Amino acid sequence: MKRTHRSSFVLALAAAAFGAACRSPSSSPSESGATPSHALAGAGVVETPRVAEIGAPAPHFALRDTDGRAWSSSELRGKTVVLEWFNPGCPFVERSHDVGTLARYPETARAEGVVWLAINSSAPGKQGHGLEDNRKAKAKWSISYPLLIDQTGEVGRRFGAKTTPHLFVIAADGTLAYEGAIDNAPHGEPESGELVNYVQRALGDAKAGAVRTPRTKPYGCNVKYAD
Amino acid sequence: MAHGRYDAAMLGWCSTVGAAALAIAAQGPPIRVAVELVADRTHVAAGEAFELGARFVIPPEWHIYWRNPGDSGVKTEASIRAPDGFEVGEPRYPGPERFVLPGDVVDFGWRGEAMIVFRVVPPAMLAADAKLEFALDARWLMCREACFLGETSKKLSLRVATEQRPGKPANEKLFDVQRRRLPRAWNSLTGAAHEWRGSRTGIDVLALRVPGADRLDFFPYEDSPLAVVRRILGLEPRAALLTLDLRADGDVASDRRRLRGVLRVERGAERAWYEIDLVQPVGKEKKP
Repeated sequence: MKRTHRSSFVLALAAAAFGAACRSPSSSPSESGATPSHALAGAGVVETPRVAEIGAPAPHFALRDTDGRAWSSSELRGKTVVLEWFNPGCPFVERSHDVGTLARYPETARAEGVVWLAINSSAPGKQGHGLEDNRKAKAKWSISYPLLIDQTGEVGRRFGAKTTPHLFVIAADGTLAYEGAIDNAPHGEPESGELVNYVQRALGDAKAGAVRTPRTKPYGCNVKYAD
Repeated sequence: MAHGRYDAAMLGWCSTVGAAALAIAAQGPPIRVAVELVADRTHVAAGEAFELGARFVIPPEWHIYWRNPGDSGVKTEASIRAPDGFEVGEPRYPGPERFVLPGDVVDFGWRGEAMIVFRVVPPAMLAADAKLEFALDARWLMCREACFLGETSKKLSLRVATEQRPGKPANEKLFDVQRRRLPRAWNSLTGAAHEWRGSRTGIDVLALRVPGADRLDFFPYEDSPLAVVRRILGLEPRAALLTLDLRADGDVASDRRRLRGVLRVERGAERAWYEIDLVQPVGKEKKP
């Protein structure tokens, strides 16, 4: 027992030192860094941070994928884009890519002309970080679409990505059409009734002109942003 | 140039330490949530209600999630399987804490220890000294710098009370501590008051005032039709005032503005939770 505590302490210390040292020296404060904190320290005001809004232009992003290829939202104008927040160590991501909706549906959407991109915002020292592990996960789950690396978390914070998986649909006109869960099955089986693929429904609605449910509550691990 | 050497050195160090941290994450949780099923009686008496508790002991610094997990996570689930004829009530979740994580991710859950409590009513007739088997099915998500799912089933055997062995309270200290964390009725909070302070474009304003409180915090239920978009805590000489800006979420009719959740009241080191279920009266909205 003592040994467990000692190793936990050493791990915590290492993680703290790691987190402090491994922040990119060139990283700038994210947009959400300027918003009021949720913490209610004594009397004060707490506000929901301003992040990507449904119906408003989606935030810009420019990231490289695991193969080193650059991706920019400005080059994707005129296309419907799905962003999938990803962490290969998160059990919800694992389940969905193993046997769930993410194992099948992205290819169907891509065949219909949708650009599907995964983004990993895990910071160094946190679950899901590491180029090699992400490449391995991509191969293991036969993910044929690009996996973009956002280790500073700037793009994740800009979108307000909270969980892995957390899905965002950007309509062809560049506005955010949907944000939330991939489906209604956090543990593999639907919470009630039939399985609903929210992203599929949103993409179908977007084609018809109006997304009926533009927001659902995402489930999964918290995105492992830098402290 | 010196900067470049620093970057290269740091990159190497970070890769090494990062790889170690990832190796731990890849191997699974180094520590686990301990779960047990406990009863507040040593024996079961026919027709006499008792309580079962799904007890979660959480490793230091890790957390698991409340019935509304907040921005991320999933709720902790617990269900009881009981012998035929027993009625098992809905799970009663203890009041949560608020965890603010990097990226403005706000989660609701527990650290340390938590117990989900069930009221159990036995049938009117039971065979004396019979052995009764109860089972708990539970699943949870444990998070810190990594997240791990947990799932377990636990059994508990209890005997039916007899004249010779009528039974007595069990796990008294544990139940005493954990029951104090269960939300109580809002109207049992002496002197507490609420006031709907009007509506403006899509936002309702509700003020909750609790005499003698030092701090207040509110945690909405996941299915609450009204969602909290802003909290303002005001401290008065002899009371705390929490003003909530609320927005209707989903397909809720505009005349059905209902807030459901729990209010945490702090007085010094003492904490208590109260269940809120308030509806703004139809047609009584005031202009702010």
